[in-house]
Amino acid sequence: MDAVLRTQRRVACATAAPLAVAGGGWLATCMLGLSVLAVLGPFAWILTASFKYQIAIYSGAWPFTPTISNYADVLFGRRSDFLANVVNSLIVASASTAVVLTVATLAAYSLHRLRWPLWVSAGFLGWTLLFHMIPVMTLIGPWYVAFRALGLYDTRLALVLTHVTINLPMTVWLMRAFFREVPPEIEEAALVDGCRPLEAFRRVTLPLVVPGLVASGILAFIFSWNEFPIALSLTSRELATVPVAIARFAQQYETQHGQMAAASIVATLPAVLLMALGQRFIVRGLTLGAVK
Amino acid sequence: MLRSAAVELANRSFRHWSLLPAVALFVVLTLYPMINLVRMSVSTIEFAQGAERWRFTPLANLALLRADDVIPAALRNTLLFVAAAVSIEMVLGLALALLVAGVARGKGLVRTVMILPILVPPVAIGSMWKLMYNYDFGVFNQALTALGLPAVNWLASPALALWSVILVDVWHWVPFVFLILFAAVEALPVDVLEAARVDGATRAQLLRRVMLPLLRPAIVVALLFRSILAFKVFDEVYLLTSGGPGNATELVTLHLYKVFFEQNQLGYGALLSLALIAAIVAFLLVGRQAVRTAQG
Amino acid sequence: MASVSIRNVGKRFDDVVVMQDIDLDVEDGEFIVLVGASGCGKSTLLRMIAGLEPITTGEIAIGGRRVNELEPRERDVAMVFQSYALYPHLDVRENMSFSLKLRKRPSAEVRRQVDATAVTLALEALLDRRPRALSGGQRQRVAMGRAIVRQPQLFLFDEPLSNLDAKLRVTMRTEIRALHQRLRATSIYVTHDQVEAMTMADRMVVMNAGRMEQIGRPLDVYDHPATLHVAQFIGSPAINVWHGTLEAHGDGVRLVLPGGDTMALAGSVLSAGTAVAAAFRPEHVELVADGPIEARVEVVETLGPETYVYLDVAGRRTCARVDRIRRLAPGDRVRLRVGPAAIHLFDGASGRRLAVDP
Repeated sequence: MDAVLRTQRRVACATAAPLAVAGGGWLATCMLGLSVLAVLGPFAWILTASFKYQIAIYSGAWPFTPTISNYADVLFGRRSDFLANVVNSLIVASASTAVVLTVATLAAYSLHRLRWPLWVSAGFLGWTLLFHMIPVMTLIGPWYVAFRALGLYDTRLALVLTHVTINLPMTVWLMRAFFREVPPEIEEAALVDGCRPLEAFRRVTLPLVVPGLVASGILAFIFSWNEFPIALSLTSRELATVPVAIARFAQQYETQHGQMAAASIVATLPAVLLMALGQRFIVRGLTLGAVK
Repeated sequence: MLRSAAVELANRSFRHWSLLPAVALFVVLTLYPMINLVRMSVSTIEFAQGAERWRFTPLANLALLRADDVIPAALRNTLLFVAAAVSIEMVLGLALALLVAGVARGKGLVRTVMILPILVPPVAIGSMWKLMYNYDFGVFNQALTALGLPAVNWLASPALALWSVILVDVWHWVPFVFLILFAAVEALPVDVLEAARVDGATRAQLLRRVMLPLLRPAIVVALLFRSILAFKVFDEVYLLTSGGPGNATELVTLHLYKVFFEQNQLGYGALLSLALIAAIVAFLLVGRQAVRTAQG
Repeated sequence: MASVSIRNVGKRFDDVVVMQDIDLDVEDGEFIVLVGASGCGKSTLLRMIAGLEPITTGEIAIGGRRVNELEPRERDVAMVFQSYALYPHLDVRENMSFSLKLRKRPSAEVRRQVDATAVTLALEALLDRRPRALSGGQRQRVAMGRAIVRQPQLFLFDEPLSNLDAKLRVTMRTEIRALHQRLRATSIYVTHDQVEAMTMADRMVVMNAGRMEQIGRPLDVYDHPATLHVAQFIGSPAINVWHGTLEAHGDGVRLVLPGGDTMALAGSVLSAGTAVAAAFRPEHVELVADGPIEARVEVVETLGPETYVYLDVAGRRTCARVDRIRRLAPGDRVRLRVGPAAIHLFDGASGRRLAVDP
């Protein structure tokens, strides 16, 4: 009798969660809660620090009197360029995202729809992969030399171009995966219905990969916004982006810890915002390709 | 008439020319610079009054390489960093993915939270952890003091600094490994798992004999991705320690940056870059073989 | 409406010849079915007519106009795809008006035509829906509507029913046929289902390995298959095939089967010693007490109106259609006879039909 009951319970459990390996009980839930805390903890700590006066940070006092003076100083302080850095980052990230989306979508479409000779398609895709694997630092030297020669050193254009380049591999691969999911017959139906090739692309295929455009766009924007080594090496103080500014904060002789925390929080905002808006797309974008 | 002919031509060749911008960008901004690396690596480049002066000195850069005593430390640190960080991340990420799959509720929340570290600027992560590691008021030392233990010099003690940096990387990237493996776990064919249960597999057997083999391709991909990304790491470490104390956390990329932009050795930096690229190509070839083997 | 003429058309992918010697004239208003197993080239031929695949050799003309070099949009054909290929981002009305809008028809006219077509296909209530919100049968009808609304010169159907369940398939089969009788539109219809081909076609083309095996009206093809392949492809349950050798017998010849059984054959012009395949349909197998050949019942399938009995005839699996009142059980011994006129003879090597009568 007892055994029968046990078996029944085990069967019920198996159907409820066929993937449950580790037990699925309260222990698993606890572990999960812990890992969520581990991820969120540092954010919470830095968030509280950003609302503390320097003295409260030093004393570790709790509770403390919150203040927004750190944010005010970082964004609007007389000695701070941070707002200009934010504007710079926004311009560079928006422009490079727009360009990389256009270029990569066209390339991915061409690779997807045409029977290019193998040396073209495999060569192109292989090169993007290789470039994606190489530390960007190896190319910053030649970029520096070339941009100086062209008078592009310390310009936003140089940042936009390089950010497009580093985001191109990911965007091409993502868009290619999304194009693959559009059945070829749909575009053929459009051709039979009277579309020219360009029209069929614009009116039928492109609207169907909008989720891909959103996912790639969000990721490209964030990666451009986050990009540090290129911006550090190819810009001077005036055109610095947010990450460069944060690095400068951290390396000042007399560190303003509260402001450093506030700046980090501000730098994190776009990521959090975009994630809230497009979480579904991003998860797909991040895990696509790894799982068939 | 002429215009319509042009439209017609554009249409017919549309799918051809649409590859062109990407190719042009790559040629100008990656291929040409790589070729330029070769030229730079046999030169000494100096800046005098804003103008470059190139001298052909192939042996000078090699001599610099031989005399560079940071390189062994940088290589050792990088390898240790990659090996330790990636293996910890893989174990934790896989465990977490299997754990979450078995939980009935809260998957969405976990997934949302896990995306966060991936999207936050690495520099901001560095700056966050730099504050948390602070000797005087960082959260770790505050906790130690509260427990009556002595404070620890997380980033300034040569024995500990690299491990402190590794911990940050683990915190940063376990979520990524988790996301990839969780997607793979969710994509596991449920009927196969059920068949194994019906055949009498215990949980442990199911995990070892059915799930892990099915997950192997995803595991290999995550491992490969992470190894390469870990090798490229720069931002956080630049923020946290900039390679110090001494050379305790000096990494290959950090050293390369210093050679290029602090020592202004463009030629020698190019030589190092080439060596690095060669090493990565070699690693890729080996890795590709590993993926092939894993997939079948 | 228009006729279609296909002259000597062939297709190569790189160096592999996948289709050759296709010659076909489709008359104005005719319903032609291309039928064959998957990979026989029927879909490729259809796509060549649509302009979706380049033509390697030969010529295709629609309404007397050579179309080899024309883009799909210039050929004035409509196509219904196997997957329906509805535009997922457009609702049903937009799907159906798409081609008319591309042709810059006035919007009042577009509206009127779409409405009229929707009535024909009973789609009025679905015009605001996206394809995702439709059932399989509804999607199929929208795909039909998208083609009909254009009033093209030529309709092309690429296995349009194969994604439907069996019952709906039979209904739509009749519906498409009824629609064709009303519109009288020239249609080329591709299917792998020989029942569809038999029931729908004015004339059918049986294809195999990139060639046309036979063109003809369904019953002509059924009654006079040109090759053994056609004989086996058309008809369900499949035709029975016995391999044997011809032997002189009296004035004519008879068939000698391995094992010693013999069968009388009609006709007299065949030469003895030829290896042949003798094929006869299940409905021509008579189970009679004085039949010359002995058999043992293996399986009995009762379908309702008729019963099929699978017999073991000296190791040859043979199907016979019998009356439902006939009670047979596995293991029963029976004797059978096949009327000489019902036996098709095919050359054992080439599979071509052997002329029985001079």
